[in-house]
Amino acid sequence: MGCRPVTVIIFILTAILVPVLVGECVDWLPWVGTRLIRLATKRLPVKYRARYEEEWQAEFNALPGGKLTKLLFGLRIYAGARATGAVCQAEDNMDLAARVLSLAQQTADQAIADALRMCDETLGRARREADEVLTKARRQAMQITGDARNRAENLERDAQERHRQAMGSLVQTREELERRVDDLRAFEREYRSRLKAYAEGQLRDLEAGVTDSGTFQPMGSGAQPSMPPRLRAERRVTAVRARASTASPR
Amino acid sequence: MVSPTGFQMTLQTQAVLRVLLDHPLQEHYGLEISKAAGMPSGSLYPTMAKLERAGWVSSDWEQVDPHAVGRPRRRYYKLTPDGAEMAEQALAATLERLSPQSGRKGRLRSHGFGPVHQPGWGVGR
Repeated sequence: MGCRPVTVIIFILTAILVPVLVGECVDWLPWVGTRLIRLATKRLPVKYRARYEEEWQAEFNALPGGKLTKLLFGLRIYAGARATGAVCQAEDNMDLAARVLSLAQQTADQAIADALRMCDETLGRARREADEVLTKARRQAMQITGDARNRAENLERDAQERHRQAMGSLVQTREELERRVDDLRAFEREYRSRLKAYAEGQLRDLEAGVTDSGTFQPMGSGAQPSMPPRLRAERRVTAVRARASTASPR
Repeated sequence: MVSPTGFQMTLQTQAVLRVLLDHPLQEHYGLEISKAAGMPSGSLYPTMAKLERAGWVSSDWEQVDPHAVGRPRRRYYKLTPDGAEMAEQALAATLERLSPQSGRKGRLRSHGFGPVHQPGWGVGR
């Protein structure tokens, strides 16, 4: 049995220190678990950290079993935290998407309202302008119509005046002509009656056997050219004969 | 299968839903669910966050003052009324897909999922 003192010392130290160290480590295990849970929450989005830390710490506290179980729980939580964080992140993303969507909806609503208002304004303005144009056009049309009517009335009046004047002068001319015709008729009548009287006188003379004394005075001024007395006598005889021959068959 | 709520109906999700549906009115804390569903805590919390986001599950703090009791409050999870209905339908649909040749109603009764609302979506696709 040649146990060297060094070996003995090492054996004693090992026998004492190892259990002490192991006990120390085992005591630390829950602390490590707690640290792991805290680290796990760092893998979550910020707003979920407080909730899950409290939840997991509560579960950790309530864990049955030994200190190794607590360490394992911490390890598992740490391992699964990334997936939990991803789910939470997705939720946040959906919230964000919903917010963006609602903002977009708001913007769209605003744009639609603006467009509607602008449309109303434009429509109102257009209607007003159309009314103005229409009123103006109507006024102008009425003015043009009035002018045209005035001009037409003037023209008609002028035409009537001119017609009246023309008719008046015609009537005057006709009256003059009628008067002249009357004059001529009167002249004819008188001429005929004188001629008749003369012819009868001549006939009477003839019947009475009185020689022409040549006192026959032709009527009128100097319408009948004076003939030599012989020729005149011959003519008178011829006329009387013709007259007698025409009258005899009666 | 991607449901209309937009998450995958994984086996772990189904396990969690089954645990919650066993006592639909009761509040559960995380450790209890993970133990009952036989899944590690690490993957429970992402699943719960997913269900909570989809509105199937709501969560609330334990009604204690942490300073008075000297410990952090626990977080309790509960199925929402809509969530309970949709979870039942989703599980029924999953079962339907797993065994298409068996009659649905009888088989569902045998699995003990209680009355099933006639699903309007996802079944038999």
